[in-house]
Amino acid sequence: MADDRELASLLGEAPPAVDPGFRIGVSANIAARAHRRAALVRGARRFGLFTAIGLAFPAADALRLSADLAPVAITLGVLGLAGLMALVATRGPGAVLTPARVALRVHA
Amino acid sequence: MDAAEEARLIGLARMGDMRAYSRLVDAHQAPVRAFLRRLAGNHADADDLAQDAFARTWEVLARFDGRSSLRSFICGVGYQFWRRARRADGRRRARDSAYAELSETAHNPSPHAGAQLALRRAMEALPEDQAAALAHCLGQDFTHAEAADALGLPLGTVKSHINRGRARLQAALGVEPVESADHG
Repeated sequence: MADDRELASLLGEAPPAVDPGFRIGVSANIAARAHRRAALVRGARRFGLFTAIGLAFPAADALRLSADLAPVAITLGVLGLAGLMALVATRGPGAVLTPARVALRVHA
Repeated sequence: MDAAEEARLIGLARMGDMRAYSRLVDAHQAPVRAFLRRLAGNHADADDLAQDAFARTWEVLARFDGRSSLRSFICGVGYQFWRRARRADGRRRARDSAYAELSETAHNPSPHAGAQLALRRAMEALPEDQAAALAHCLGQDFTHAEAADALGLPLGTVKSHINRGRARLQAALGVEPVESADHG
């Protein structure tokens, strides 16, 4: 009792040839992984947005904006970032990247 | 499934056709699950790993270049998942596997329960790539060349892993080592 097939069957029984339940499980697994990945991307974008908003204040300091201008500049900057974020959320990254690429090509 | 049909389905799956990929899953699930069952030791863990392997393969299908067979590629992915799981929590898995072994032998006592336990322990004592080479080739679902592709090892290394590993499994059963015919 020691040839390869016997060792294999003792180690682990081969499953029946086609198990439709397994295939359905794979599809569910693929969908779950896609959801997790999309959630990670959303989380990363939100983190990026709030980091950029947070950086607006030290940026205003570094640019030595006057006490009158700083709140206006910061507000405009934050609104601009929020607008970009809304565009990306509703129309995808292409809505922001494509015009940016076109603008860079025009000015280059 | 012939090579031309498989290539057609892979092309469709790369473009996002889930039905084409489901047919590939059906075609390859048996050897992949058998390989992971021999490696993991219990059917539940092995089938979870197999599902993860197929799901991950769907995501990285663009990286499959056709130099190896698709099922070798999927087994390679499954092997990496198995290695990661084994390292992640070795003690918990050892406890769960021991419980699973006892449950299976208590509720479904088989005349080979003792031999199965001895083989399982011998398999767990083997180095990872040796265990994987054996799990690939013992059931004769895969050739040595396919195992070498899946594991990223030279063919000669796979053959020597199988010979040495087989001898250790046979020793665990208390039998004289018997060389099987080379099929790769």
